[in-house]
Amino acid sequence: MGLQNKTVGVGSVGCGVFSYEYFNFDGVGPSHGRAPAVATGVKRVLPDRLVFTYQGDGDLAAIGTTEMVHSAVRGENITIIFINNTLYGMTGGQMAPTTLMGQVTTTTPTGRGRQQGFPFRVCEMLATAEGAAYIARVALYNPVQVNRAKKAIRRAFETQMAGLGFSLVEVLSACPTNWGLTPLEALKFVEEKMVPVYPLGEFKVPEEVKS
Amino acid sequence: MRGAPGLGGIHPSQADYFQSVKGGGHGDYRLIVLAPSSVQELIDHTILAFELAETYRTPVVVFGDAMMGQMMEPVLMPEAELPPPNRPWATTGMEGREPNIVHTLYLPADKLEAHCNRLFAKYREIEQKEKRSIKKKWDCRIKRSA
Repeated sequence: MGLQNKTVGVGSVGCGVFSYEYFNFDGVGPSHGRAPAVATGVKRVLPDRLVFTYQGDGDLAAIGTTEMVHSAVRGENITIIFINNTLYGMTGGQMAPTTLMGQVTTTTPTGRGRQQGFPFRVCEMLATAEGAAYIARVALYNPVQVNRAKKAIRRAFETQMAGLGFSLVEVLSACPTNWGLTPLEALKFVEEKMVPVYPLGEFKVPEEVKS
Repeated sequence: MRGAPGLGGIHPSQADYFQSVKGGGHGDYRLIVLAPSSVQELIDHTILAFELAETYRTPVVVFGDAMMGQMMEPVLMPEAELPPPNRPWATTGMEGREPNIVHTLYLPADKLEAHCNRLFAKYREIEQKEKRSIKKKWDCRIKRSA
C-alpha cells in the first residue's frame, strides 16, 4: 500500500510485547490493554498516518476491554489487529475470556466450565457499534485462509485511510506450545474447535472498500 | 486530594500528597508536580506544565486540591507563546529516518538500570533548575501580554 513511512504501530503486553522490534516502522509500547487509547492519541494528532494496534486476546478481550469497546463506539479511525489464540500465551497458557468451553488451560485444569463463564465473541459485539466500519474474523490454518486474512487486513487499512471509521480484524491463530499440540495438530484445532465457536467472515464492510 | 483511603470521600484533604509526588506504577520514576496556591497560579501553572513537559519529556501534574477548585478570583489570562515543540523521538512515521520506538520495557537488567540512571540524572537536573516555592516569587518564563 506504500504506507511504511506513514505507519505507526502500537503494541500490546503479552507475546506481542516486542512487536515493535519485528516491524520496520515507528512503534509505541503502551501499558497492558491500553493500545487503542494510545492509537487514538496518535491518530488524532496525525490523522493522515496509518495507525494500528496488535493485541492478543488477554490484552484486548480482558484487560483492555474498555479501550477496545469505546474506541469502536467513538468510531476512532484506527485499526485493531486482534490475535485470538484462546489463552494468555506469554505467561504460560492461563484461561482468557476467549478460552473454549471444556478447554484445559493451566488455570482450568479440568476444562473451562460454567463457573468461568463463556467464550467472548468480540467481532459480533463490536459489529453492533455504529462507529465500527469494518469488522472481520479470519483464521490461519491453511494457505487459503492466510490469503483471506491478508485481504481482510488490507481492507481494514483501506477503511482507515479512507477515513471511514473503526476497523478490527480478529485472527484465530495457533498456540502449539501452550495447547500442548504439534504445529499441525494446532492448525487442526483452529479449524475444528475454534472456527465453530468463532465463525469466520466479514461482519461489517463499508461499500467503499468492497471492490 | 480526597480524604480517606480507598475510594476517597468528597471532602478536601491535605493529609498527604504521595499519590502525586511519589509516582505510582512500579516506581523508578518521579513526576514534576506543580501546586498552585491561587486561581491565577492554576492558569499559570497549567501553561508552565506544558512547557516543562516538553522540555524534559516528563509527565507534569498540576496539583490543585479541592479548596482550589472551589475558589473564585479575578485573573489575568496570559497569552502563552510556547516555542514550537521539538520532538525528534516522536512516532510520526519514519519518512526520511530510522524507525522511532517509544517504550519502557527493558528485559536485560543492565539495560534497565542504565535507563533508570538516565532518568534519575534528568530528575536531578529538574530538581536543581526547576524548584519553585511560594517564598520566592514564582518566576514564569512565559511571555505575557500586559
